[in-house]
Amino acid sequence: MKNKIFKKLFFVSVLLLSSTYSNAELVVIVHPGNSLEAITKDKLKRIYLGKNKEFPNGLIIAALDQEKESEEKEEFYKKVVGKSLSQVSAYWSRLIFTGKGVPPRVLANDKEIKSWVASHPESIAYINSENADDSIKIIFDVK
Amino acid sequence: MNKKCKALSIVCSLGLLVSLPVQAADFPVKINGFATAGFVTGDMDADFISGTDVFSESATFGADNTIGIQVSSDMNDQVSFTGQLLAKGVLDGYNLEAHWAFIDYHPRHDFSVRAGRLVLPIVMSSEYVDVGYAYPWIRPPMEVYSGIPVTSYSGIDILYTLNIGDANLVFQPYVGSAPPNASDSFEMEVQLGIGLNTSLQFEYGSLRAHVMKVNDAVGSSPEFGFGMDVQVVVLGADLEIANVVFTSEYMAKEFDLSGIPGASTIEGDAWYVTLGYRMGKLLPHITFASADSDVDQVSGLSLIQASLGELLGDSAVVGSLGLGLDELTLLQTDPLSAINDPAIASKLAQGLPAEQVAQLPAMVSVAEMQLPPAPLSYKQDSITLGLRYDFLPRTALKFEYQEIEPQEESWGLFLQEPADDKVSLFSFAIDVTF
Repeated sequence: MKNKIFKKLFFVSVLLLSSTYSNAELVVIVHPGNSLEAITKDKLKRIYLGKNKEFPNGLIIAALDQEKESEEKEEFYKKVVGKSLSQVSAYWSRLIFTGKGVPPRVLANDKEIKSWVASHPESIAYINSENADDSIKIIFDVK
Repeated sequence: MNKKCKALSIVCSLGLLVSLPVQAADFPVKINGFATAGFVTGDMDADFISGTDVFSESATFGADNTIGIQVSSDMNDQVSFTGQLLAKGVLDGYNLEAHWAFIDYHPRHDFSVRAGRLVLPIVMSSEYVDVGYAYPWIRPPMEVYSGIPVTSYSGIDILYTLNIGDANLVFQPYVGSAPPNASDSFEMEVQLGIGLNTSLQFEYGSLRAHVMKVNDAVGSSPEFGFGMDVQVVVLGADLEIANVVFTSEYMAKEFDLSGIPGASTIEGDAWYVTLGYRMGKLLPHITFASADSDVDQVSGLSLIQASLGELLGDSAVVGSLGLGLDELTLLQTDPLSAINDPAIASKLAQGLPAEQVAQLPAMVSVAEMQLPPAPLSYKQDSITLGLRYDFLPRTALKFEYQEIEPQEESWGLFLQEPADDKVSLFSFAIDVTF
C-alpha cells in the first residue's frame, strides 16, 4: 500500500516537474540468507574502504559498487564513508598500485546489483530503496 | 525423441552462452593505470634530485612524466599475480621497467605473502610514489623522499593485518636484494636488506613506523665505488580531521662508509610537515621540509695537500720525479689543478705509493664536488605552496610554488653548485588514474 502511494507520488512528480530527480533514499542490502539484520555506519565505512573483510558469520565480504559516478554514489560516499568520490579514488589508487587492496566490484545499475546480491551470500551493496524487493535484505537506511 | 534432442541442444547452447561470460568473470584480468604529465620551470641553474628522479635545469618538460600500467589476475582464491610496468621520463628520454611483478599467496584475508619484484616501503608514499593521483603534492617532499636512493627490490614481504576494534594494525616485514638501477639518481646495489613497516590505520588516518637495515651495499659514482651499511628509521602520520589534512614524516639515517678517503659515517635526519584544507574539489596545502646530514669527513683538498706535503718535503723524491719549477709551484698553490694536469699526474704516479695514486681520483672528486654526493648527504630547507584541484573524476590538476635553500656548504639536492642561495621552482602537473 505504502509502496503504491510512493510510486504514484513519484509518477506525479515526474509528470509535473518533468524531472527524474527522486527523493527515494539509498538502502544497504545483503543476501536474504545473511544473518546480519542491521549494520552501523562505521562498519559500513570500514567495509567500503576495504578495512573490514569479514561478516560476523565468517563469510569474506564482497562489497559491490555502482559503476556510474551518479548523484546516488556521491551521496553514499559522502554520508557513509565521509569522503568525496575523488578522495575515494585517491584512497584506492594507493592500495591498487601497491597490490594491497582491491576496490569493490562495480556493476552497471541497481537491477544488476540486486540480482547479484540475491545470488551471492557474501555480497553487500547499496541501491535506491525504490528498487529493493524481497530477493534481498535491507540492513541500513542511508540518511 | 527429436523434440527432446532439440530441447536439450537449446538448453546446452543456452548453457554455453551463459557459461562463457561467467567463466570469463571467474578469471578476470584487472587492468589499472595511472599517468602524470608535468611541467617545471624556475630560476634553477643546476640539475637536482627529487625522490629517485633527476630534474635537468635545461628541461622543463619530462621528468615528472610517468605512465604506469598494472595487470593483475586471480589464479584461484588464494593466489594472485600482479605486474606493473612503469615508463618514466629521465634525463635522456624514457625509462621502462617492471616496477612491480609478484605472486601473492593469501591463505587468509588478513595474511599474505608476496614474492617477486616489490617496492621498498621506506617512506609513507614510497610504494606509490609514481602515482601522483594518490597524494596532494606534485612531488613528495624531496628532503625526505630522496634520502634512500633505492626503489624496487627482489624479495619477499608479508602483510599481516591485526584487527583492533575499529582500527587495523598492519605489519609488513620484508627481505630482499636490489641490483643497481641505472635510471635512479644514484646507483646503489644492495646484497641483502631487511625491514619492517608497521602502520596503524584508524578513523582519522594512519600512523606508521618503518625500520630498515642493509649490510654491504655498494654505491657508485662515475669516479669510483664504495661500500656502505645503511640503517634507516622513518616515523609518519597522515591524518584528516574536519577538512584539515595533516601529513608529516621524520627520517633518521646512518650510512657507515668504506672506500671513501677521509669519510667514515654519514648521519642525517630529515622531516616535513604538510598542512592542507579541503574545500570541495580544491585542496590548498603548504609544506615545510628540511634535511640535515653530517659527514665526519676530512676535505679532499686537505687530504691531497697532506699527501703532497709529505712527498714535496723530501727533496730526493721531488728530484727523482723530474717536476719542473712551474709544476712544483702549481702543486703547492693549487694542488687540485696540478693533479688534474695529466703531465704532473703521471710524474706523481712514479713517486707516490701505489695506494695513494689509486686514491687520487677519489680525492679529486672529494675536493671538486660534494662527496659523498647527494642523495646520500645533503643539507637543505624548502617551503612549498600547492593546490590540488580534482576537476574531473579520476583527474587532478596540481600547481606548486617551491623555494629551496641549500644550507651551509651543501649544494642541497642539486648536482652542481647553484649560483643563488635560494632556488624557486614553479610546477604544474596533471594526474589521472583508472
